[in-house]
Amino acid sequence: MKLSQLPVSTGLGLRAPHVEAVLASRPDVAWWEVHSENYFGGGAPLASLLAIRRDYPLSLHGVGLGLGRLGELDARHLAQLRELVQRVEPAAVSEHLAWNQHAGRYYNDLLPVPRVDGVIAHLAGRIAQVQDLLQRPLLIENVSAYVGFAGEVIGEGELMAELHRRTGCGLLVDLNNFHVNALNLGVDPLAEVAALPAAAVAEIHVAGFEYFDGTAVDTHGAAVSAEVLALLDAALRQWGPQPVLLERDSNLGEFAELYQEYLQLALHVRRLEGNTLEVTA
Amino acid sequence: MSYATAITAFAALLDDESAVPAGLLHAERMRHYRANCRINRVAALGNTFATVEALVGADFFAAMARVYVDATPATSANLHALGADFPDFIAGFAPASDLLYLADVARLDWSCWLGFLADDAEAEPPAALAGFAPDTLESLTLTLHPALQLAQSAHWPLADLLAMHQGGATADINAGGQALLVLRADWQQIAPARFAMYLALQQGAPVLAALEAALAVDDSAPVGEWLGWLFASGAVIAITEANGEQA
Repeated sequence: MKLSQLPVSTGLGLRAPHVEAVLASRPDVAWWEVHSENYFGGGAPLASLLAIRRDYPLSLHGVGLGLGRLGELDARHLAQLRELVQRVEPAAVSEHLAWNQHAGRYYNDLLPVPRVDGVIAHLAGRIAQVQDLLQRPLLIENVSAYVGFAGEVIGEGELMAELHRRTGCGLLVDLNNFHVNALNLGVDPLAEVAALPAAAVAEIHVAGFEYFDGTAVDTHGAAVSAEVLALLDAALRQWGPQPVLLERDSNLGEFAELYQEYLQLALHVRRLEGNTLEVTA
Repeated sequence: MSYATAITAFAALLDDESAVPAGLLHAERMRHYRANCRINRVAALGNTFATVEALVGADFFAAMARVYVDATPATSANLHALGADFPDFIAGFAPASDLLYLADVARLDWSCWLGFLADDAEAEPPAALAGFAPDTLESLTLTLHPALQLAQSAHWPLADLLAMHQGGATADINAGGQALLVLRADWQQIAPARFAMYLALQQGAPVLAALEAALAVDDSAPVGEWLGWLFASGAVIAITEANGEQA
């Protein structure tokens, strides 16, 4: 089965404050991605999403499953996700390599998985469980990290490649997160990109980050940095054209502003792909 | 270090700044995770409790929500599912103790939120009830749509406050208690007798008992009309006979 049905072009993250403007103006966006949890339940939010789905390819991006948590995944969360996937029939379904629960307490953030002994078996089992439930490939995404773990046995890119090999899942590569981890923890983002086989990559995320007290924090609240755009260029040269998504979650502003940023990114990607084709022709 | 040990060490430090940062690098940056969790939850509460936020202002709301979040471990990964006990917290929040109505307004906001996000469900058509003889009403129960929510305050004008928040006239806080129903994004003030009837139905009382609950409040209550409204509005999703079979 194909890892996703996303168009190989640039898409845009869609958040609730912009839904009305998008439905009214039907902007020229190749595909949209929404957070799955925002459409658990029914009523107007889901109806709006289905209306958008009629006109555009749609990606469902989970932020709350917590694939890396200890113990079982949340049964209600899984049931709600399956219900949503059945209603929306999205072009892609993705989740983060993160955890969010321990000893009965939830943490509403994307916490990094320790890449220590046991990590591969733990994550591969959960990914396989979700793929069996949804009857489709899951795309897994690397997260940003501020705190590191001692005694790690595998790099993030290597871990993602191994999880693809074991489970057949796709890879959603967040280049901003690699960059943030380079700033905070000293990883080499180009080495992480190089560790990921082109055949496993199904989607790329770019976004902006902000500094707080000297730490780069993945807020999705600023423009994409020049370093991340350069990383995108390198990644697309390695993997060939991919679905690329612009994410914005905080400092959201008016849709028209974000749309301009989207158009600039889409143009950047098209120019790059044009240049790449010239080079290889 | 095993996977479970590493996660447990991380969680311990997240919960308690003074915990030993076993096996963690740059543990001093844990505050960014604490801040993210707090910011995400406070922002979600502002979305859910919009009338409360409008009444007290964004700064007071954020400070109050922060105290609540810090004192209340999250029980779900889904931010939309958090805040059921925020109204009770507000009732005991000393800096808001002058705003006696605030907890009831928070309960209203939570009802609106549940109604807005409730799962979709197929409604029984208005004709569905016509097949039952009047003498079966004592054994029929209705399952109301989860998008129908009820709110009532004994002392405060909830409907006037909600209307004010949505651009209506300035509410008179001393106008007395009000009841209202919420159906998705729509709402209307209802008479206390109608509130009693719908509440009884929502709690599983037979139709006849629910009608009697309304008539006990107001013996001239138009209960047939109110029952018809539920069906006409798509607010009934199942009719069940006392023997447990779905009609």
